[in-house]
Amino acid sequence: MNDKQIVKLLFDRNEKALSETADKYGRLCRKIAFEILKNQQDAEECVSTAYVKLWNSIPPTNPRSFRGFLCRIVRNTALDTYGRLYGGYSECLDELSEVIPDSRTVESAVDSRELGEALNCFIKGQNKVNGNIFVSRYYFGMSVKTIADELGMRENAVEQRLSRIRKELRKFLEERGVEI
Amino acid sequence: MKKDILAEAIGRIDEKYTDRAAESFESGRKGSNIIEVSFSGRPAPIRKRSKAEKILTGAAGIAAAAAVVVGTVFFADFVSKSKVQTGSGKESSPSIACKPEFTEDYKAGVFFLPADSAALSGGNIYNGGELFYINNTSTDTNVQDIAVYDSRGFYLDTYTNLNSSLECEKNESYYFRMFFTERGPIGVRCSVTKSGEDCYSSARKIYFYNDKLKITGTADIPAYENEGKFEGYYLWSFSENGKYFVEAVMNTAEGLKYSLRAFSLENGAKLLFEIPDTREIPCVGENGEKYIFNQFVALNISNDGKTIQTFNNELIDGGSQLSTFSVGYIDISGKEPTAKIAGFCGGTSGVIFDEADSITHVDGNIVDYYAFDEILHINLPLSEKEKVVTASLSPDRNYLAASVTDTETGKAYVRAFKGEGEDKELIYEQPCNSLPTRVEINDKGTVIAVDLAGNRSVYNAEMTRADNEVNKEMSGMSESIGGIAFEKTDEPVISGDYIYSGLSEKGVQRWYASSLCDTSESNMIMSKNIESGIPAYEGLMNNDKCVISVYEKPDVYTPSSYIGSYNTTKTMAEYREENNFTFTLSFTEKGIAAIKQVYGDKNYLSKITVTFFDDNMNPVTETVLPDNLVPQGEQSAYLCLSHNGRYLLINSSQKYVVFDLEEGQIIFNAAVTAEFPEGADEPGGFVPVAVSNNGDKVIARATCEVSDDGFPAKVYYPVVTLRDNGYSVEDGKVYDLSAPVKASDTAVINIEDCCFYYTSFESSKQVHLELEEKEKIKLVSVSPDESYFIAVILDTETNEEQHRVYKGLPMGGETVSNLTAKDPISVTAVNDSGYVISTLKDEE
Repeated sequence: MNDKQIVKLLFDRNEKALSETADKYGRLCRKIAFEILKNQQDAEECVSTAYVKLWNSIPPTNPRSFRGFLCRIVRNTALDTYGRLYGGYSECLDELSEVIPDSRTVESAVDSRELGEALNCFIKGQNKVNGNIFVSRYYFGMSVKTIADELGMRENAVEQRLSRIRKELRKFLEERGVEI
Repeated sequence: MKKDILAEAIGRIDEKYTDRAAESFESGRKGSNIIEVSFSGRPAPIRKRSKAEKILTGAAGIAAAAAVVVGTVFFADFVSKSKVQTGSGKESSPSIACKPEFTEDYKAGVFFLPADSAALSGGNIYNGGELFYINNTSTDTNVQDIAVYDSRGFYLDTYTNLNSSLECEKNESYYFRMFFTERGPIGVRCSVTKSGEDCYSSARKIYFYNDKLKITGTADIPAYENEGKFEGYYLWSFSENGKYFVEAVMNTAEGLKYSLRAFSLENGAKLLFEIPDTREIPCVGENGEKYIFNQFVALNISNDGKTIQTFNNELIDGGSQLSTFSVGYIDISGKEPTAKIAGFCGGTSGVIFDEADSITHVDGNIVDYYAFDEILHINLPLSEKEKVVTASLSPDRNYLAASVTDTETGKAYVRAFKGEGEDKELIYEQPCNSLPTRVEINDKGTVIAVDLAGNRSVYNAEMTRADNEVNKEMSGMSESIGGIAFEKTDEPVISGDYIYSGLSEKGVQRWYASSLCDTSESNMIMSKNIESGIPAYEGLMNNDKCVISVYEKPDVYTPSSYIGSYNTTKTMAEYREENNFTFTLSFTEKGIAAIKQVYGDKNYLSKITVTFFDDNMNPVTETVLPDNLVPQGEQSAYLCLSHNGRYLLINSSQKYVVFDLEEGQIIFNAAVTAEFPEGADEPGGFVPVAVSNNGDKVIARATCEVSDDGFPAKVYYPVVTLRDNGYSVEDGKVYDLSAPVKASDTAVINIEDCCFYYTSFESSKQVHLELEEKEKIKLVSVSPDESYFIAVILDTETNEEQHRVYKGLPMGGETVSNLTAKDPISVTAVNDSGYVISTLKDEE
């Protein structure tokens, strides 16, 4: 069943949508949740919660990308469950915050919306592999090893790419005057 | 602060990038160590298999304690899965078919799964945290079919001829056993070749299966050097996590000697431990007494591969042979193995030794449970004359199922207990026609029990003892629903019950049952009376009120429960001070809606409102219709709300107005005059009964024959299609009102003896049911999505009633459930998942 059909089932309030979602994306969701929570049972409970949120979100939302929407729900649920600064994900934030320029004045600081737009611009300018690595690491909180496994790369290679991406991001943000 | 902003900003990364990344690791290598779990289709919490799927030890020479049968599951959800995958990947008909074959008796909360002629003895139940696996074995040594049931005991699939794809040499026979582990199903094969009087056994081959029971890998267990010429006797087992394999081989060529080996299966098969003669293992009792292992019955190995659990037939104690059975533990983590005996058992009666992680023994009312990490001695609350025949704990050890017999009367029961550790309290019991010799209970409390004749029963577990008493007391429909908790309303029901199956605002499955009750409330209610054949505007007494009882079914595993009752008259009166009004209730996908007509001067209509209520009957939204939509100079209007709650049809003076409540605009406004079939002799107007979810179709009703006493005798139900510039009328059906007519938001049903007519927005269908001559249809209800219907069948000779649940329209569908009711049923409904709720008629 394709994503469009699943969304239609959700709009029809047909619970088959959830079993189809679980069949198609259950593994993916659990993987995302597990990477953040590092606990299998928590991950499974998180995914269950995410399915409920999905059910309650569509309708009214008609997502442009069902998979992306679902992954966002799972990721946010995982983070909400244990706090954004928890465990492995906190490390990701530490890693990235080092390259975000500090503002010199309160007035010059951007808010999360502006920074989010800048990040989207930055990702758009990256090649597909680097974009995926960036999102996997900093959005989904995946470990370097997991990313390497999934992309069939060596861990060292992923780390080097991440390092380069961070440097590029810092330069990109500085040029645009984005500071927090 | 910086990290907070950063975290929020990252959360704003566009979905197209997150989707792309998700795609990359979705299509990437499957390196995750997360266990796949099944999902049953509701927004319900999914629990992992909290302990391993239980496995069967490979005691090839031990007859299984219970016969296992092929049976019939009568619930509805999984009919669509009636095609099964064979071992060779080819589709075939399942050995279990969903057809109405039932034993004569039905008990409260029990699904009986009768024996099938194809089933022979020797099968077993494998109890997973989520799934039950039933081995339908045609011989004692070769697995052929595995039937899979979900945690409620509903049939999912049968995998047939699993061993047919295994290579087999000429003149070769083999032992083959299936095991179920957290890693997935695992099979073991050992070939035996006969040459004259001699038997030659070969090395063992292990087959790893995926969830669909397809082979995904193998591992080889080498034969013993001296194994070439003897009649082997094997005990096999895998650890609960599937990472370790243990086997004991009895070598009859060298006397009664057992060799014991353990293998790691992490990367192929790697020998961890081997001892050629188990009698050499030093073994002590609780108080240091010395024993010698002489004969094993079963083995288990722990998840870390360091401990082997044994169920021993014989021990040698200081030279004399003990015939008693015992449970021992062999520590194989050191250089030399050491062993201890943890407890003795009087015999094998009632012993469950085919679990991966435990051995259970019963004696009187005591259940001894031996696991790797703890030993429990559970004292069950039984009377003196009762004793436990067999018992089993759920994988998470929170539930215990016991087969109990009354030693004086011979009566048998299945009892379920719940509680942590050794503290278990009875949660329900069920009398049985014959004594179960094997019971299994899962982490959700669902029990499968098997008796010696091979009859298998499934007990849906979350019932409390009180619920079960209610079930017994009501003894009609309730007993066949299986685990549903019934509640009686406090209010005396007079008439006009209405049951609606739908979703709550949170998407939870709910039932709404309305009852009209005698009170002193002063407001007049107009309510749909589905049994009278008049779908709307039954004038009720001014003193009536309407109570809506709400039942909720949060997920597939939890029985329906009573949420509460709401006095809608009071609710309506409280939130608006207007006293001169009537309202009609509508049960929509958006929740309960009240369509209120308010009267002004000369009792002419002055206002129409549509109010949606939340799950607690608090008003959430209210739409006051523009004045131009309120029929002027009229004392009433016919009002219909679409099932999705979006469109309101207002009919007055042969004029139809369809109003889109969401957009706040009129989508149709024209006169619709009645057209009648040939022979109609008393034409009247087209009264709307239901409006479709697009607002473009209406099921209408017109009287076309009046009886001598002035009441409608025949009515005509066509479907009217509304268009921008007019309308068209599709042929409808003339219904005889002497037979029951039932109308809902989506369809009208007229019942004749063995068939019923069903008019929906899409078409008019005639559905014939195959009934015996003495049977006739009494009531029919169709689920809102038309995927199920339920018929109440009256036996005209005995006056007994039966519910039959069917899947699919219009051909009559396939019977998926057949439920007996002893008391008359007044109303019934089936929801989109095939669940049924009914109300027994108040005899007074």
